[in-house]
Amino acid sequence: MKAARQGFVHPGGPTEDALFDHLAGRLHPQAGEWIAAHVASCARCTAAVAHLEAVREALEPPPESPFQRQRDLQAVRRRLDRPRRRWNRILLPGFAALAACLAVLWMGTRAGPRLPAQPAIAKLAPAPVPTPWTVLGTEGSTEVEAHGAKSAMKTEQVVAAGGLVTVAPSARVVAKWGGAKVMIEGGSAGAQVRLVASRSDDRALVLERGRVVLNVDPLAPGARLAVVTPTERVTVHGTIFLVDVDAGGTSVAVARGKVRVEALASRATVDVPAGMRVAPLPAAIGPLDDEDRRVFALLEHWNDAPPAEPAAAPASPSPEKAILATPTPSPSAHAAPSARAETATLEAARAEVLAGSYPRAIAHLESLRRHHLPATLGARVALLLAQALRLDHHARDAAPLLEKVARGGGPEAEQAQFLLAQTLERDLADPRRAATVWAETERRFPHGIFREEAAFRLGESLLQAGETQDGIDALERYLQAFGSGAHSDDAHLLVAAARRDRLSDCAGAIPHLRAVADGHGPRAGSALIGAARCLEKIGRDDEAAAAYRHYLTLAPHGRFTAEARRHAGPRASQR
Amino acid sequence: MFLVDRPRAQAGAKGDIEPSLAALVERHRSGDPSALNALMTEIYPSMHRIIYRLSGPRPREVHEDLVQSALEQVCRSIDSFEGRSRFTTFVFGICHRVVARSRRYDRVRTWFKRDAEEACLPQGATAPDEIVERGRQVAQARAALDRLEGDERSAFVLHEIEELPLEEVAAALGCSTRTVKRRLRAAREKLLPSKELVS
Repeated sequence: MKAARQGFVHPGGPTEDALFDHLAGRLHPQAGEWIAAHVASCARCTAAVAHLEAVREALEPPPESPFQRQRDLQAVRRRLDRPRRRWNRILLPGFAALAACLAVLWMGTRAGPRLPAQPAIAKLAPAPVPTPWTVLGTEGSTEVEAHGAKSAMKTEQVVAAGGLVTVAPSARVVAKWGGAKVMIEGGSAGAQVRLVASRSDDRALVLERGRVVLNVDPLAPGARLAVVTPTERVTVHGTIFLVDVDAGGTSVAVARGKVRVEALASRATVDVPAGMRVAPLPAAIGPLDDEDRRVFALLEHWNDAPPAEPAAAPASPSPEKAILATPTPSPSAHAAPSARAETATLEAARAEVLAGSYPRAIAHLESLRRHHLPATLGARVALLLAQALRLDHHARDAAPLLEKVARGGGPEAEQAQFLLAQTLERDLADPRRAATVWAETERRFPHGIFREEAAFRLGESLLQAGETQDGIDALERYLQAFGSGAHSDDAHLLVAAARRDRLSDCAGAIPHLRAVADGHGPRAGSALIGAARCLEKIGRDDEAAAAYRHYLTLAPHGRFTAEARRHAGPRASQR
Repeated sequence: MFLVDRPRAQAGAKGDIEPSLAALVERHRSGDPSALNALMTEIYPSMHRIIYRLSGPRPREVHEDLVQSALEQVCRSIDSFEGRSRFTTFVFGICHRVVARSRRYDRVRTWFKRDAEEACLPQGATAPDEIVERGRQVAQARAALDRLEGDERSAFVLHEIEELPLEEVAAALGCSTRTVKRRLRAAREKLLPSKELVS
């Protein structure tokens, strides 16, 4: 059984409502004075007032974290672009489709001329269309078996669902599959692929042996694309990846996006992200190897090629054949298409970052980094990639990139150093490492554009890391060098708080609080109250009362008005 | 009887964002495509603050999600704003509902994971700021705020901290002023320290 709560009202004291109104400054001054006089002489009310002021303090929100506003607004825009997951949104089109079907059936049963198909039905539920393969080019011996008949594959040939494609060792074939491209490589033992589903909403192939490489268009909602091997099922949602089946099992490597690999026997799944491969057991995940990169580069070259021409005479092979006939490029041979194209890709990625499409920007930048880029351009790509990763909540992946660029030189290195320190401090909550990086920024770039920021953040990070005296020293150095800098108020307040709360040095805190109060900035009022509290604590009551009175003139309806009235002495009561 | 002396914030007073919000809502309704963006940017700090006050300290991701959900809700229902209250009141009402819904989900989740969470709680650890007296008091205050029911907390925050008049609190919470008063009284009783604590 619950014990009855002891009421707050006590003889001679205010009611609860009156106390709250008094603290909020809602009472008439005379009533306020009466309550202030009672509170000053009543231990119970003094404790209650202190507790309620702490309640107000507990409700003060922390400052926005960096990039938070941009992130939130971008996320909201994305949410608004998404269809809402509401039942009526699903049920209404469903009912509409049902009604339309019934209407068509009814019309179909009527005597008279047959009406054409209802466009409304097509709009509501687009019918899946057949999506066969269209062969874009072949190299070496390849054949297809369909309806019991075998034939050699040739350009422009169409392979429908049910077709079995056999590719001899060292041969390969490239085909268009709806919006996707698929390359089958014979490798050393040949490849065999059966096309089992080939509709716009459901595409699937069975890879019995060999290797397939796919560049898959982003799939429509509800659409599926799968590669099934004897042991695994690989599903995707718009990506570049390869699947390799040999005697050892199934390997999957991903160049862009993400694929899900499901073991057919155990139903266990593993997601393989970009830049990783899993082979042949799901547990063995590692980075892409050189062979994977070679194959992806081959497909990338294919994607860069001009559109397919109609079948040409043997003397002038089609571009696809020419590319397929190109020997396996060495890393230097398939380096960059051109500096202009790379700069354009970088600018496109920058626009994507600004528009909030971080995953797309990351995919583009990662693909750009695989080229051999000039040092400056490479550093800029890495910087932008790091920013995109931070914005996409992958700050842990951004830090190594920034460390690498920071080891270089020039403005990119300074920027990387700055971003690295910021990432460590804000995103990874590692103030000790951040302080090291800020100190290094100051040492390496004493005349750099971030020198003021670095000087302030060094002190802030040291304080956060618990290095009180070093932090205070760093902030006082900052104040000496940049007395009226952008962070001077912050620096004064940080030093004051550290001296008062950590070193119990109220006298040392007062000059800093007064400096902020005299600046008449947005935090002048709270600094003045802080100074008054410190003065009171060290027994300088007259000065404290003067500071409280000064606060009342500055902010007659401010957050600390009630406290200032209580402590300002008789002169304030007459006000 | 005490006379209430403090005038409520006047529309158009310095620091009152209501006129600019009303103008942006009008611009949005007249088809200006940039108005919604500007409105979101303008209202964001208020929503960030009010969501924190209503929901209390949460992990950053949770807080961000609540702010985003509330902003999304504001954008989706802006056409239903009839101008019968201040736009900020309308927005605060949405924030209250978003936070209330999140609390309901949390309550259901805790039914299933309370044991695990309790097993993981640090034993006897003292946060550095609680060593300081003020920090200890703020921690006690947070605990007291956590004891409030969701509706009581909303009424308290909107009236005592955001300084909305009772009528606007009632409009934001979708209840009568009488109910608001009752919730306020309950919140005040729970927030005041008990007799044993102070004596």
